[in-house]
Amino acid sequence: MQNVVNSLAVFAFLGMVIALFAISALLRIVRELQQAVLAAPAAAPGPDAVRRVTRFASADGLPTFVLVVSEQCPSCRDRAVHLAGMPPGRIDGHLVVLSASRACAAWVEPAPHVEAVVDADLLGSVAVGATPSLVKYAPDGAEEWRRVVGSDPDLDRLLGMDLPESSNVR
Amino acid sequence: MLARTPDGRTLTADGGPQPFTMGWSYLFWARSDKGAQRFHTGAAGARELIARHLGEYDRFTVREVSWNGARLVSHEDPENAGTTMLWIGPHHEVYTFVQGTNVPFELFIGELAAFDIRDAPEGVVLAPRLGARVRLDGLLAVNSLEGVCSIQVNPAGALPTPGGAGKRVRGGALWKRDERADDGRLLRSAILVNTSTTTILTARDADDPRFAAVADSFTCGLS
Repeated sequence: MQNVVNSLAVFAFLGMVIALFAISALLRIVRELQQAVLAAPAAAPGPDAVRRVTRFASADGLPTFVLVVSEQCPSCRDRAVHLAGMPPGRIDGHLVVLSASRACAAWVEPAPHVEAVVDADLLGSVAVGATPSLVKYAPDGAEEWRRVVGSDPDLDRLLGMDLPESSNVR
Repeated sequence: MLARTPDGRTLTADGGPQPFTMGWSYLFWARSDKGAQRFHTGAAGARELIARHLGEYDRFTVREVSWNGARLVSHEDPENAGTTMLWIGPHHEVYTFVQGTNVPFELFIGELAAFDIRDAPEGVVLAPRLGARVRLDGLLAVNSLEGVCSIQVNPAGALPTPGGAGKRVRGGALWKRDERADDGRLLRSAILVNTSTTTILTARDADDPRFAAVADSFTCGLS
C-alpha cells in the first residue's frame, strides 16, 4: 500500500514538471504572437487614406461632381432632375449621376451635359451611406469631399452656384 | 394593448372600455461618453402632422435623403435656430432635436449608427450595437384615453412613490391628487404604482366620472 502511494506521489510530481514545460511553451507562443502583432503595421502599410476612383479622373484639369442616387428614393429623383435642369456651363466641372439602375439614368436623359453612369461595381467602390450624396473628385481621381444632399439649394451651394434670394439656406 | 418599447421591453396597458387615442409615443435618452441625447418615437409621419397642426411646418426648411431603406428628414426652424432630425421607417419614426441650422445629415447618421433599428407594427426598437458604448435611459411612454385623460408611464423607480399607503385598485396602489391652477381650474391626476411601472393619469375634466372609473380599473405593466 505504501508503495502505491509513493509511486503515485512520484508520478504526480513528474506530471507537474511536464505541465510546467507545457505552460512555458504556451507562454512563448503567446509572446511570439504579441511581437508579431506589434510588428505588423510597420511591415504592411494600410490602404490609402484618400479614396481614389480612376473612372472619375479627367484630362482637362476640371473636377468631377458625382451625384450618387438610388431608385427607391424620391429625393434622389428630385436632386437628379434639378441637376439636369441646370444650364450647361454654369458649373466648373464635369457632372455625373451614378446609380445601379437604368431608371435613374432616365432622370437626367434630357440633359446632355450630365453623364449618367449605371454601374453597380463602381457604386460599391464609391461606397456612400445615404443617398443622394454628392462626391467631388479632383482631376487625378482622388476624392476631395462627400456630402449628403438634402435639398436643391444645398445641391446648388455644394456645386458652388449662386443662391437664389428666396432661399433661407446659409 | 401590447406594445414594444424602444429599449425592447413589452408594455401592456388596458384602459377598460375607453379607447386609446393613438399608439404609444416614447421619449428616452441615449447616454454615451459624449453626453446624453434625447430621442422621441411615434407613428411614422406624426411629427410632420403636429408641425402642420401648429402651423410651424410652412416656415421649416425641409431636407430629405434615403439611408438604409429608411427616410431621413430634417425640419430646420429658422425661428429658434434649431433642427429636428427624423428617421422615418415603415411604421414608426425616431426623432431628435439638434441645436443650430444647416446641420449635416452625417451628424444624425453618426448618432443612429450606434443602434440597430428594427421597426415593426408593435413598435420601433433601438438596440445598441456591440461596442457602441451607448445605453438607453429614462424611458417615458405617453398616450391618452380619448377625451378622458392623458397617460404617462415610467418604469418603476423612475419617480418617487407618494407617501402613505395608496388605495388598493386593480392596477396596483392608487393616489389621487387635486391641484388648483392659477385660473381657478381644478387639475385632477392619479398616480398608479405597481411592481413594474409608475403611471400618471391626468384628467381632462376633473369631474368626469369616467376618469374615476379609469383610475380604478387601469392596468399597466412593463416586462
